[in-house]
Amino acid sequence: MMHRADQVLDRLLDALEAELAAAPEDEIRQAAADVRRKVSYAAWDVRGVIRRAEAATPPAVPAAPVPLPRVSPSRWH
Amino acid sequence: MRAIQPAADRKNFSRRRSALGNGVRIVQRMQDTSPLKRLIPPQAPGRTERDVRRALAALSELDLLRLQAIARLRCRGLPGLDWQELLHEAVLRALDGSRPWPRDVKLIAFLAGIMRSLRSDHWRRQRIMAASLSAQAAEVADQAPDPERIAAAGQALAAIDRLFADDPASLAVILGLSQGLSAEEIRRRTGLSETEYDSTRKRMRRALLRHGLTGLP
Repeated sequence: MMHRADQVLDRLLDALEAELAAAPEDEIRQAAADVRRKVSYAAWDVRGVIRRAEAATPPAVPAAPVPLPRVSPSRWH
Repeated sequence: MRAIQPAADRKNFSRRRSALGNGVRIVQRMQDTSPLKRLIPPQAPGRTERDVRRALAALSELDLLRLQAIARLRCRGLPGLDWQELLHEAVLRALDGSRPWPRDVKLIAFLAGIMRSLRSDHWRRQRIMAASLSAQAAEVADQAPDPERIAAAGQALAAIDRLFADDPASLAVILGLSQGLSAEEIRRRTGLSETEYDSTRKRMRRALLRHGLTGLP
């Protein structure tokens, strides 16, 4: 059975992503050491991307309570 | 000064109030005895934009690197889009609430899911733009596979092949995982022992993480 390259790639990426999501922390440290990257410097780059996205999204302002309509005393009951 | 209520009004008022009270009690009793009551789980309040900001700020350095590796991986086969743009877009969508964050999902898995769907969105947009000159733009967008997407996927697969070119065992494990095979099935197919299989997966993860840090194969 033939599979389309994009479908194969999607499945492959899902499988590899699951591996990365489950990678133990010591493996991440080792990988950083392998490529001579300081974890804190590399993390700073990613933090920068997140900060820019946060800055582009203004914090949501909680909605002010809606005042209840005034009802004249004659309509209380 | 408080006006004195006529006796008839007071009587009507108390009758209305007691009728209302009875109604409330009937509804409460119906709810208490409803056979469905136990089947409906209590609704947890949804996560807010503030929760997302707080969780993003709490990500550890190692989790940030994990996120980078996932973003770089998800860029494979997406021409013209780098990992920073993809992650930026995912964070924007998480913050603006266009993608609600389920309570039982971790932040990294949530962002990874957004990046995954951004890939599909990217190709859908490309197809609609490319087809907009034709009369059947919308129809074409839902039909046959896009040759550009298939070509990009082919290149991405070739790049992953190159990433593991000197480690055929890793490549065989990746192939098995992408086919949804269990660890036992992959071991049987590749002839790897349990220890060999575990160390192959470890090598594979490290190669992916290295790639995630540098972008180089």
